[in-house]
Amino acid sequence: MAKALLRLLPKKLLIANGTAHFENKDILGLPEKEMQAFRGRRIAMIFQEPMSALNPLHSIGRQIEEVLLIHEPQWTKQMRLSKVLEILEAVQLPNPDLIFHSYPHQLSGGQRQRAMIAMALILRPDVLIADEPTTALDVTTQAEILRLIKELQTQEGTGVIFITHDIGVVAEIGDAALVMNSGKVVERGSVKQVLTTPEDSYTRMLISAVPRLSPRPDNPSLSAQPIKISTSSINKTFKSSSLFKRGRVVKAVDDVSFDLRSGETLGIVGESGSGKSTLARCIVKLINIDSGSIFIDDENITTRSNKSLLPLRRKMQMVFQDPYGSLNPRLTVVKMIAQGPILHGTSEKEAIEKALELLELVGLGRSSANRYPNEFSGGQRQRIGIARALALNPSILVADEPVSALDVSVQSQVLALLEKLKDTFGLTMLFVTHDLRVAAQVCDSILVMQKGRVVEYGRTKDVFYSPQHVYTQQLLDAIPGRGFPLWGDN
Amino acid sequence: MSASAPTNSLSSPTFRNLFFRNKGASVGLVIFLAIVFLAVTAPILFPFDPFSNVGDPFEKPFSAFLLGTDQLGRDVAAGLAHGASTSLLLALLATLVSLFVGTMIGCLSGYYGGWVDQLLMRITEFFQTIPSFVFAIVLVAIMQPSIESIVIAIAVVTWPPIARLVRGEMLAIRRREFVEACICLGMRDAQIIFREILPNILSPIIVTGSLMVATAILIESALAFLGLGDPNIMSWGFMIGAGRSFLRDAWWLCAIPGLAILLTVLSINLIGEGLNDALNPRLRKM
Repeated sequence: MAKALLRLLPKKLLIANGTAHFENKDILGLPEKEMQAFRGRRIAMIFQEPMSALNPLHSIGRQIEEVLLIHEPQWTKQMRLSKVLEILEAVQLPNPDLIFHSYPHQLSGGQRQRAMIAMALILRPDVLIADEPTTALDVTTQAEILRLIKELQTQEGTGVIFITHDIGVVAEIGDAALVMNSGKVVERGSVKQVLTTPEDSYTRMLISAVPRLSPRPDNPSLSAQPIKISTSSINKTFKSSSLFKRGRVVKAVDDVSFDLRSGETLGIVGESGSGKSTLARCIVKLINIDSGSIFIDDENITTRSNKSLLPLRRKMQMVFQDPYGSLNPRLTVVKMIAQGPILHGTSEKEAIEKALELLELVGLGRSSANRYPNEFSGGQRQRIGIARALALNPSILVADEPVSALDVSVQSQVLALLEKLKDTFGLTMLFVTHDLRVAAQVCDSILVMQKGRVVEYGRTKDVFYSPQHVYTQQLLDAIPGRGFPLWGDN
Repeated sequence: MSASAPTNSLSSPTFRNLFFRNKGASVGLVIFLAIVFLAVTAPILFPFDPFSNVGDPFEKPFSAFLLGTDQLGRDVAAGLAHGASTSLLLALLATLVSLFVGTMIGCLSGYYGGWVDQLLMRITEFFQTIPSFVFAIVLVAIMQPSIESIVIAIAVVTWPPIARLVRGEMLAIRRREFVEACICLGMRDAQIIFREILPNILSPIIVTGSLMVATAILIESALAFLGLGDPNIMSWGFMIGAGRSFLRDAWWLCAIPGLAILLTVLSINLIGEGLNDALNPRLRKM
């Protein structure tokens, strides 16, 4: 819809009817020429993925200057330069001179988004349309960008149309809200009104699906359970080197230790690049660790060779993040699920029967057995992935961001399924996530990672109510919509 | 296109529809089948040795013989029919060998990466730097012209692009999470490579392979033209080579087998394009 306002839609999609008035001018009926002057100067837009919206071959400064060249042709070079530097400073980019000459790939995601905002705001537009501008960013960066947009809004008096799928972000930044479902507006009103007293059933469903921020109560029986996974000072360093180039060294996991009791769920929380996924892969032995030790059921698996791992594979299975990449597109669902048991010596007939049962258990039904992954939605695919992992009757489930790629309503369903299965099978779970809300709901204890190191490790309740480390505090503060009454914070 | 149709079976109606939607591919298939028919029925249509003299030398086409005779009175039509099976058989065999070698090397290189990749790709580059036709000539000359040596020579000069293609596809699929899931299930590397990943990259391999048949026919003909074909077997390249000194007096000696090569290569290329349309998943979604 935002694209329709700016008339950026592909030719095929014509705006069927309706008008959009901007200062009493119908901009939908405007000729393309006038529209060009309109875009940028009066209405500007920022996008979800700043990397693809920026031209990788030009420096940031040049791209922003370009906007001035088009809209303010009478300006001198000097004027343009000082204006660009001024706006780079305004979006709080460190060292504007340096950024001016940098290329997009040299900036971080947050910095690129800031550059996009600078480009959008340089002509002081009256309206800024932001299409999921923080979706691709980490929470702390997201919080900064949201704060920046708010500040600029009050300074410049810009109107902002903010498009997002994240209810938390709505609570954080919006004054008024408009809820859309399959192309129709289902609810509109002030943010407070929409979020606290939603009238439409779809809105209500959306809001109730957002995980509450209250940490899960302590499970006292856990401390009596035997220790299932025990690790001490795991280290993993990645070196990217080739014959002729000096490699880069990244310490992905740096001296990490933790213990996990049977039936416990440990959340590994961190932002992108914190090493949380690498740690999960080290535990399931997809990656060999450099030093340290991993014990599973009091058995040292650190130096096991691939062959002798087979019995261990039975015990420990993984659920993956990407619902599209984690299933082989060439296999039917039932074959995929039966694969594991067949590998481990179950007869084909039995394995297929078991796969059908599992399909039912994860809520897909036997009728879906002979279909291919591309016929399922993201949430259903995650269910298939879970069924595949459970086919071997594992006692440990390592879930790497199993719900991050899903819509919030589907997310809550999959989480509920995981919870149910955990109880049925008595699973011990390692749950990797970047989303503290999800972690609060699912995990008994939490391990916060930053740049490969553990900065905080404790019971979920303790981590949420009395975080010890500055970084944990930052993460908690950055959760969008945290202060909103709906979630009954603390 | 209906969403419920399984997308991986070659015999599904969607595949056929997509293939025949490409008009060129349909024409190519008809021509190619005609040539195959000619090759298969050659022993019935011309039940004699194509090297035998059956008439006067230099008979014009459409006189005593359908396509005339050459300088020794051999039937050009018989040579064409018998040569068709030589060309097709050699080309198919060479392509299969080349596909096998290229796919193996590409799979290992793309799956394992690291030093295995470095080593195999340097070897591949080594083969790619040598001009392929000159290399083929050298190989056949060293090994003595025979069916085996020609097949080996063609395979040796054509596998590198396949290896690079397979490696690239392998690298892309290798990074998908389902491969990690397979490792977690306890699958062995060979199972993962051949049963899980390979079916996913079959389409580009089939398309490239079909085009490679055309290349192989050209190389084979060129070798035979230079006198490096198997001397006991009739082939199109040999016919052109033998007839080239009489080009001004008996044009058909070169023109007819030349036309046959042209049609065969063209038809195979058209089929390859049709396959590409039908198998390319990105076009399929449209």
